Amino acid sequence: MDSCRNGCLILALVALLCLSVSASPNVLSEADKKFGTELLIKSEGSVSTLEEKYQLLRSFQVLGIRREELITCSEVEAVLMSSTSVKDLFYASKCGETLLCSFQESALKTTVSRLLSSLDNTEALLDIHFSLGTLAFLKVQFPVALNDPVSIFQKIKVLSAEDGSWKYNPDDAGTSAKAAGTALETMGDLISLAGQAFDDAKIRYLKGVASKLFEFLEKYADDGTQFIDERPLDGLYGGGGPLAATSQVVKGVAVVASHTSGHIEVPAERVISVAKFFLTAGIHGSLLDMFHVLDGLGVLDKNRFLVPVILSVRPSVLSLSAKEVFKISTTTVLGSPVSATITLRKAVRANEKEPFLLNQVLESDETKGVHNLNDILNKLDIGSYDLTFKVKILEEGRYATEPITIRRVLVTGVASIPEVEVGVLDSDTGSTDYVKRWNPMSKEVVSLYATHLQKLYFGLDILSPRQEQFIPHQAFLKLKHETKVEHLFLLKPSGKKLELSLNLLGLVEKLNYLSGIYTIDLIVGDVAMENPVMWNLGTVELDLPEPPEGKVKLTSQAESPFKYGPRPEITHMFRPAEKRAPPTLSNTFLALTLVPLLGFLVGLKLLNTNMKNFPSSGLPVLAALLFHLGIGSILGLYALFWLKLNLFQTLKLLALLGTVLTVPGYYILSHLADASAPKVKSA
Amino acid sequence: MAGAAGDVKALFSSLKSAYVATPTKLKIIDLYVFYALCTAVIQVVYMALVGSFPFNAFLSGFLSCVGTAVLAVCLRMQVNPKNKEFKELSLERAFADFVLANLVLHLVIMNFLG
Amino acid sequence: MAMAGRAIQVSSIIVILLGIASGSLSLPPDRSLHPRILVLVDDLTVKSSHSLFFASLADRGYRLEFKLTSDPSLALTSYGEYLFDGLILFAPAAEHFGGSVDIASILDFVDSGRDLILAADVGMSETLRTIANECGVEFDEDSNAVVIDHLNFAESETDTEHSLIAADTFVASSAILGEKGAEAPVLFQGIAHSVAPANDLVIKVLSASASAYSANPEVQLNGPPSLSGTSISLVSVLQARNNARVLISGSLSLFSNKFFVFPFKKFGSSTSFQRSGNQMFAEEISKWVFHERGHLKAVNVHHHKVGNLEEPSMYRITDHIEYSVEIYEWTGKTWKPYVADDVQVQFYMMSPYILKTLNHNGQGLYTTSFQVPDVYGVFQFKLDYNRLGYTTLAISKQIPVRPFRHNEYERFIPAAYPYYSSSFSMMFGFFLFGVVFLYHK
Repeated sequence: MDSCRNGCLILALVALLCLSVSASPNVLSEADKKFGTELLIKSEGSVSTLEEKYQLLRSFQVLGIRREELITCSEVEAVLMSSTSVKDLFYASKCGETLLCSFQESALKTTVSRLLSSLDNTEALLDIHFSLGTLAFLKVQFPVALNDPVSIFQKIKVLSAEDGSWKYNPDDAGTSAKAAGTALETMGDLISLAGQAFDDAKIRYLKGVASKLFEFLEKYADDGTQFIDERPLDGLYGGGGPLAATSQVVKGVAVVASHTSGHIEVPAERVISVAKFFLTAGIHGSLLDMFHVLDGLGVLDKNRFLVPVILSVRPSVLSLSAKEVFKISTTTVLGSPVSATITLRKAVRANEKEPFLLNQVLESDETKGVHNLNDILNKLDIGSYDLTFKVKILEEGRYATEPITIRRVLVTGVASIPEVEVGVLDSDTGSTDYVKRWNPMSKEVVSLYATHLQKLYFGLDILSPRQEQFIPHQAFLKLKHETKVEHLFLLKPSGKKLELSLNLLGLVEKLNYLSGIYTIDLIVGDVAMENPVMWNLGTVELDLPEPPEGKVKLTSQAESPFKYGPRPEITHMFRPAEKRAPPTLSNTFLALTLVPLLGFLVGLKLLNTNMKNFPSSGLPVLAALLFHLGIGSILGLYALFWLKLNLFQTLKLLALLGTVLTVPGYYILSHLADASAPKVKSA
Repeated sequence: MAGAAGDVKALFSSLKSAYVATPTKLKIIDLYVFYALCTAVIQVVYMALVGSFPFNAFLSGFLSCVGTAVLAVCLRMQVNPKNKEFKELSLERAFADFVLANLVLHLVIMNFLG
Repeated sequence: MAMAGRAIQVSSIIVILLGIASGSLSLPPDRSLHPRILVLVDDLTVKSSHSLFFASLADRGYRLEFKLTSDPSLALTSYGEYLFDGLILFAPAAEHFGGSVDIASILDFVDSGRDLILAADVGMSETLRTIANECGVEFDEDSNAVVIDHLNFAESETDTEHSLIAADTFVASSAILGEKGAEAPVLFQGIAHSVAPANDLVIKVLSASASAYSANPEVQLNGPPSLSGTSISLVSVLQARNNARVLISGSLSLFSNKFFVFPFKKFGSSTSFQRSGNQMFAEEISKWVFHERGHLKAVNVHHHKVGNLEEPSMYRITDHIEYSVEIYEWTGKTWKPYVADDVQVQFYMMSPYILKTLNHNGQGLYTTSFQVPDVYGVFQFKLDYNRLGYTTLAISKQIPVRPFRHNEYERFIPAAYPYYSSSFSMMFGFFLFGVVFLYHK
């Protein structure tokens, strides 16, 4: 699980550094260093602990930059004098070491004695490491003597395991290679403090541990990188991942090598793979990761056991038109030149088998460690090449490199397209109905017309700078309809040309039976082409048959304009008011309707009506009056109802009035009936 | 042709003479009906001129005329001594019915007049 | 191409109904002021190599938790409650997730209204492909294909594939991209995806140019590539119907430190850029995805008759009424008034009878007044606000509209005087007749 996790780390690291696709990573370039510096400067504001400050200082140191603002020597001295934490003392002394501070013995006497007594009392590797590291720094300033170096050595040794790994504390369950690296660093500090206590046996033992440590390297992918993986134990004591573990191991070996004489056997190809690991990780991440990478690279750049040398070919993308030249150099991981003889064993075009060039020793400019490939430049054409180099370093003992390296380079140049042939052919006979040569200089557009019984033909030559036929990766022809529907076709090599022949009869369905004007665009591009083109050749009007039953023509794919916008306002049109009569007319008819009433009155007069039957006296008079008054009042109530009242009020009053009306009504009517009845009877 | 005209003239004169003989009470009723119908016609003419807005008012006005005319015709039928069907119904009784019906009619008319 | 997955549709119908009932689609109620975001990575170097992006999120108050995809303790929910308000998947090659996380639980996470940022890259796994499909986005089937553009790449010493694209075809939306938008082209290196044009919910935020295509650079093409030109989307966003937002990017390195601070020169142009637009683009779009911009809510819908203040339960035709609503936009910390000139309300029954633009007072209060049509029935005040980059507002309030009562019609009309006079004349005539008829002898 863990190894998979860290192996995935490697995959991701490789994937992250997508900008360099060559088989091996390049050494840190100036641009990379500048980028790293910027990131570090950005994180200056957020460092607070001594450990972080040291990490920042050391990172700047490797990049070759001095930053005064982080911490001053007097601040370091203050910490050294007063702090009780060995960890803080250690990191303060490391800061002092980077800043090249110098201190007086008098000020730090108590610190020294405190450290010496803590050494006697502790069994933990990290505490010993911090104490010895601080003392070793102080020894550079003034003499420091250890009480019992041999017992310290034993304390460290007792934490070791059979296979060469180490524990951090006597009661730890597991061991790790990172702890072994810490132990080595501690032992190295011990040698610098009390070298006389180390006899040859001990030195041999240490060198053996150092050599054996390289066997803990693991590799995950086949990209040539190897690293020390982090064990769960390391997680308990600070962690930091594989970057921290590998960097610690390399540091431990370097410290031992710097304090012993003679040679440490380390396998060269493993040191190189560790260098590749750091270079692949790059300096783009957080402060901590950048510190581990830069610390490791700093150690690998200059050490006394073995310095890996990396071959660089610059530029990895060469432009023929800019008349660039290849510069091949052998340098350390940070870019310092190393002398070597380089032979170009062979140069092969990518995806081909036949080598193009064999066995060319490169002339070199010794002073700068740079070699050049000028002889073969005029034989290179555009495209990718795999160059195989054999390197032989002059000082073999100190340096190591891969004897055979393969580098891929890309040569770019200007490809020329003299003209594009555009034609309309007859489908059946193949004879040309119309052909035009489109010239990239004049860019005069063509205007074609074709029906579904014809073929469209496009053809062109592309020549490389060396006048060879060149086949680009992208050679597209795009037909775009007015409704923005696009169709893309590929021009394929046929003989010496790139051609495309569109049989419209077969394409009718793909074009969705959409007739109309299509614009023709030609797009040609390739990684090796410095002049990719997107040309509008002109238009073609296609006359296609109607779609058969059931097939719907593709409608415009334009979005409705109201999808995201406000819609037009809608107001309601009210029903127009009814046409009404003009007031004069209605008033006229108002008068007219009263005319029949007058006519009625006149008619009554003409008929000689009389009121002779009206009762003369007594109760009948009253009843008659009340009766007619009642009717009149009911009619008046109706008028009031029309004017003001509602139905409920009216009905209530009507009930009242009506009931009242029945009495006189019944009386007078029966009186009148009696009055007239005898007359009728008698008649 | 001349004979037809002569017949029409004879018809009219006989009608006229017969009508003169009717009792005055019935003539009053006839006059009333005629008055109501004239009013109705005037309203229809008005409606034809300007359209039927407001329709409820037109109906009210029109039906008040026609309704009361119809009730008057009923009254005439009941009151006519020559009408054997209503011999046992007294004039006053018919009149009472007439009044009641008219009062109801006019209530409805006033409600619908708006 | 299916719309956003059916799973999202079905559960979002329920949410919409609830939203209509409550009057607004607000943020999930349990979203705190410091939302928690789970970041799933293939390995922890991503935390370091993309540290600038994560730092910008942490600076805005988000609490980030980094976990490996293989971590067996992964869980999005605990006892039915969601533990996180957002999910960032920076693990393009992850086939399986540890713990209780899988495709279904991630889709449920989005269904619940929470947001997702998904970055794919070369070698993306089937799992992520499926998740992207459910969000309406289809990646190129060829797993070795990258986006190549020979006319719009960023020049670099080591680029041998022209796959480092400097893209500047952005969607025109200041809600999604911020007020200033990206001031420099955005560097992109990864795979292409496409968005079905019929899908309303997915928006192409960053598209490729017309000369771009998606292919394997090592292999010569046999036929025209399936994805090419402007139909290639490099970064898309989905705003689901429940207002969950999903960002899908075809490049993980778009968010990396290296791309954030990378000076480059675009091929074919003479301007060289000190910085790419990546940092600004990534920050602005992450603000949009996590609802710091473009999230609207509409509350306090009121309507009343002009002159009154209380809300009646029924209107009459031809009434004059006023309608008001308050719309706010979430800033990440508070609701601030939303100001726009194109908010419209409809008075709707089967079709809009009235559609009016609302006037705003600058404080988020939108009002208008209009006259109820002379059609009666059951109407709705429908507020349908759908703008690019903003959450949809769909608020409706039902109100019946009745016709005139019998006593609300016009009376005493001059044109009807003849009728009035004839009625009264008949009444008088009847009275007169009654008198004369009885007493004539």
